[in-house]
Amino acid sequence: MKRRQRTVIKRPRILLILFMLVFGQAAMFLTYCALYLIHGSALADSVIPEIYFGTFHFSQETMTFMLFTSTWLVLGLASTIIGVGLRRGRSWAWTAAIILQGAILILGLEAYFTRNTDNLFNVALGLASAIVLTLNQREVLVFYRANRATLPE
Amino acid sequence: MNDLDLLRRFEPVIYYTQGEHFFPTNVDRYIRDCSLWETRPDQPATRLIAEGELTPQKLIEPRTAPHGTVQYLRYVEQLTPLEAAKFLARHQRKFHRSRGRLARVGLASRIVDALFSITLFLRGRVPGGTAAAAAAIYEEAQAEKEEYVYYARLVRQNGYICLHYFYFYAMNDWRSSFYGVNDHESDWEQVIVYLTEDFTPQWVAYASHDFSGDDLRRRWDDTELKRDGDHPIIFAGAGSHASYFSAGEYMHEVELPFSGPVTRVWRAMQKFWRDTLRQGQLVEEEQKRSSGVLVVPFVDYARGDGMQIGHGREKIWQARLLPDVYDTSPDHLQSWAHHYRGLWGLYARDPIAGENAPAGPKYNRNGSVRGSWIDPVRWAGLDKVTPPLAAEASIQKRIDEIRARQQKAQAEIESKTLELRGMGLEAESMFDMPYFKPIYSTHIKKVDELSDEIAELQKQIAIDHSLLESLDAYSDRLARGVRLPVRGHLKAAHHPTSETTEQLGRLAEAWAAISLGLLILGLVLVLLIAPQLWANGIVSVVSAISFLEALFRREAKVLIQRAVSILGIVATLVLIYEFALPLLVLGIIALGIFIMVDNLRELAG
Repeated sequence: MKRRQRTVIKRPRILLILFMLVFGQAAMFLTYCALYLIHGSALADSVIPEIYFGTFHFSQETMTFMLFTSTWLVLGLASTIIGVGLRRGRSWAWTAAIILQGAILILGLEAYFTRNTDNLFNVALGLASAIVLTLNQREVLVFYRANRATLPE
Repeated sequence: MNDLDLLRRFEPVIYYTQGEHFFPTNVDRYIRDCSLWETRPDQPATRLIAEGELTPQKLIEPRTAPHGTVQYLRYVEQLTPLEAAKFLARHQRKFHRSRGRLARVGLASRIVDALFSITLFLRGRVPGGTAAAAAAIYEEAQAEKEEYVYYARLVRQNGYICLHYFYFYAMNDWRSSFYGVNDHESDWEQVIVYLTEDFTPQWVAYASHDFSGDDLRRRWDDTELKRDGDHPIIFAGAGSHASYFSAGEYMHEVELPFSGPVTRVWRAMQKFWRDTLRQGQLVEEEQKRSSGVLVVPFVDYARGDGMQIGHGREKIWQARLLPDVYDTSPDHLQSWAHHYRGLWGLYARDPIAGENAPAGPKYNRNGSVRGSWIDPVRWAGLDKVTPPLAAEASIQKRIDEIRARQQKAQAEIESKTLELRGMGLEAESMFDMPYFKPIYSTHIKKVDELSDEIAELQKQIAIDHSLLESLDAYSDRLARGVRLPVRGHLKAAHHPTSETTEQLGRLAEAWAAISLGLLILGLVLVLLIAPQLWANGIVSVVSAISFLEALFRREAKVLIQRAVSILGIVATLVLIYEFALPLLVLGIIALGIFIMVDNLRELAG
């Protein structure tokens, strides 16, 4: 059976910055998630008895808690997986990274223009912009384009 | 061999596209079918000589008129719309338009194209039906006596023999018959074959729209130049009659009038994005090269699948000699080339001239002499190219000149060095004399200037040395019969579009036709249905249409990359706006740390 071949080119130094940014972003989102969980543990004191007695209903506070915690968790996990993919030089990781940053930028800018912004969003916006500009660097593009798997002749 | 024999020996063969209406014709016959008109500044057009009364002799009679007057011929009175439609229906069946120009370009170009169409209503234009009427007259004349004529002259210049061929067409119907840029009555096209003094062909240059310079010419041994023996083959654009070296479909980008400043800003931004920020594109730059932002795409069809005229073909040329560069004799059979400076067809009053008829083989529309007439060698960028026969002698002469220059520079350096040393001694003698300070300062300045002059001469000698090496090597190569790469002179040569571009699907074609309309309808609907959400609505409609567009063009990934880049830029600007002061402070702190670390490293090192 013929094996897939990869064009091997030297890793540009800017990739180190890219990895730091992406893993930093993952750490940031997972930290946000942990902070929300810690903050939400007080909420659990009232929610668990409500579930037990069958009087539970989704309050605004519960909804916000669940939405934000799950968003941070999903973004954190996605950033981690993408970071690993980028570290291993996978072309799909570049595409996934640019899509993820697009989603983060849309959420962040939407929050900014509707004045629902806080520093969490600002840091996320700043990091996402930096990652986009790094992903778009010519050396980075060339590296991940060359690393697309090609079948042997 | 006389001039006419030489011209006939290398006369080109022209391949036309199926559906072409007009072929190179007899100028005298055309003149007899025309009337002569004049438009004076701020006055309506007046007819000077009626159709049927005009002759080549009457055309060249001297006429005085105030500055700004335009004299022009009129070949046709236009047909009624019904007559024109009947004529076109009968003729266009022969021409098979391939996948449309709009499907080959993006949405932005389609928006610009719509703007271009609107400018046609605002500018002067050749009236509808003109092409059909011209074709009817031309066909009638051809039925009476079928002839295919070229006009030519021979010019000896800079060691080249230039065989200059002109082709005159009764009409350029590129816009109305082939979806092109413009229509105009009459059309002059030209081709030059360059020989060395021993009649060996070296280069061929084909006129193509308004291009000039190196890209017009191909070397005689270039495989891109198709030949039938000594006869170069031209592939003529349908309706435009522009000349091409290969059969195919050529994309042209026409810049919107007055779009210069926008294009310049766009290019500066692209340069900053690409070179300063080192940002790249997923698609290779060569594939996506575009000259500007406000450009309209057009296709010039030069398929070569229609009639062929020339040596060994069913239709053959009649050759007519044009007068020499400075031959002003009115008795010459083609003296109109020199004496008639007006336009050769309708003056449509188009301010950017695309729809106005051209002037003759010798003149531009403003009455000035064409560069190709007065300096045919420079027209194709050959003014800097030494003919092969003279190359060896020229190189030797150049080497001698450079050596002489080097010797002169060396002598100058020696004398200036002596002078410099003397001045240096004088300066040293004044160094610790307090009352000589003003003289000392002036002296030191002169010493520095002289030193710079010597350094400049040394640099020149070093450059000359490299030049000599290069010329020696080139001389060796020529002696061994090695020539430069056959296309080394080309900068942005025009090539036909690739087959994949031509084979866009029908769906993409249909999408290209309706996308702009859909975009406009979508925007109107947003403003009617949800005016309070206009910003979100416009963004959504533009995004949806752009995404569909990218899918049809198989460029979804590129679109996502571009969209995310734009979002990144917006986010960066937002953050800079929000945190200008903290960012400034951070920047200064970072600079301080950098300087500190750099200095400490030097200390440690």
